Amino acid sequence: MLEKIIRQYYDEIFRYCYHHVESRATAEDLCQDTFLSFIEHYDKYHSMGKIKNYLYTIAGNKCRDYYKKKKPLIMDKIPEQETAQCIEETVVIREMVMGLPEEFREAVILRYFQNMRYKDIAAVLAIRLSLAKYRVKKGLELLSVMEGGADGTTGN
Amino acid sequence: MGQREIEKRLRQYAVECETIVPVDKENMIQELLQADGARMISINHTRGTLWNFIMEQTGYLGKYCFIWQAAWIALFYYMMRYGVSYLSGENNRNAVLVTISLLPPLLILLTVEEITKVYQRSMLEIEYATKYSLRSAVMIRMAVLCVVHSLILVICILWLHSRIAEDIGQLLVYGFTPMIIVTAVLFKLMQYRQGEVLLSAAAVVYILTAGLVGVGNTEYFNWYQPVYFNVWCIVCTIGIVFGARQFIRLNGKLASYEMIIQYESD
Repeated sequence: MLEKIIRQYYDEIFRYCYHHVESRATAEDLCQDTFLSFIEHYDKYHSMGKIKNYLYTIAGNKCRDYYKKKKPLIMDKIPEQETAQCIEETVVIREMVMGLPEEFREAVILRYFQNMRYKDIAAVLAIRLSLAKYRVKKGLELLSVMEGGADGTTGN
Repeated sequence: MGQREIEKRLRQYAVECETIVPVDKENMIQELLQADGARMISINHTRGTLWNFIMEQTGYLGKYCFIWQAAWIALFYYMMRYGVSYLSGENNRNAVLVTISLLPPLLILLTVEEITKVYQRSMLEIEYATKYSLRSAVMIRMAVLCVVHSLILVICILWLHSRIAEDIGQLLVYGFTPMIIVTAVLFKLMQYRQGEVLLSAAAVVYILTAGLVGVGNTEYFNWYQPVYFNVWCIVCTIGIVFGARQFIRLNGKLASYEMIIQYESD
């Protein structure tokens, strides 16, 4: 059963870590640490919540610990792109997200990169649903403003 | 750039990142499994008693379930103390009996959400995360709810019996029969439907039962006359047999994890 959980969520948690640290090797370490912590504590886990959310919470804490110890980032190889414009856009969007304040960045990553529902975001971040929605919305606004600043235009 | 465009780009980036996977994933997973194996050897696993298991599963039931049960008791008290006489005047024997038939299935309906959790992934994950099987957890929860509902109803009927001159046997049969029928149909529905659909179907079943009770109370049928009491007893027995059969079938169906895994609650 444990193996099934690990196989089911390993890639997802790895990508979540990757979005935070942007170095594949570090993301792999954080992901491995996340699952080691999970293995250590999973038989004490009695919440009715989803295990996926529990894993995200552990991974989020691991990433925060990593931030505290060492400021990122060594930019890794970016995903495969077709055109130079795409590469530029990808780098820009990634940098912009990384430039967000922590609480908004976390919400945006969970919502858009990890494709999570607001309800689950609220569960992972241990906040209310309305606050989760606010953080995502505010994060988007900030990104829009940042993009406007970069383009020399005003964001929507 | 507008927020929509930003959203689009974020989603596009997420899609592009789908291709990123750990380089040595298989080895890493094997390492984790080895770590788990070593941990399992180092700790002494103890299995709790059945009573502990039941108490643990009762603890999993949502707090809203208990709030609804308390609200139902309050409604029952209010209806029997004030509501029935207010609605039907002095000659209210039938009104009391109709009320005692209509309220108990409502108790099932209010707590059916707890039962709809049967097919949620989170329930399956409890199976993953604990030493108990999903089926035993679900069955214990439903059994706990059935026992609690029955106890509540018996206590309420005993209280009512102390207030009105009606035979306790009749009160029990009129009270339990619609509840048993709704529960049995719910067990049947649970084998084919899940989540919101199950909740809606349960509501429809309740409305139909209430409609039937209403029709039975008309002057034309007058099912609450003592002459029909034996028919009520027969219907009640059929309901119990049908319900038990469906409960056993449901138990068998829960053994098939495939169906639950395929069902995505979100």
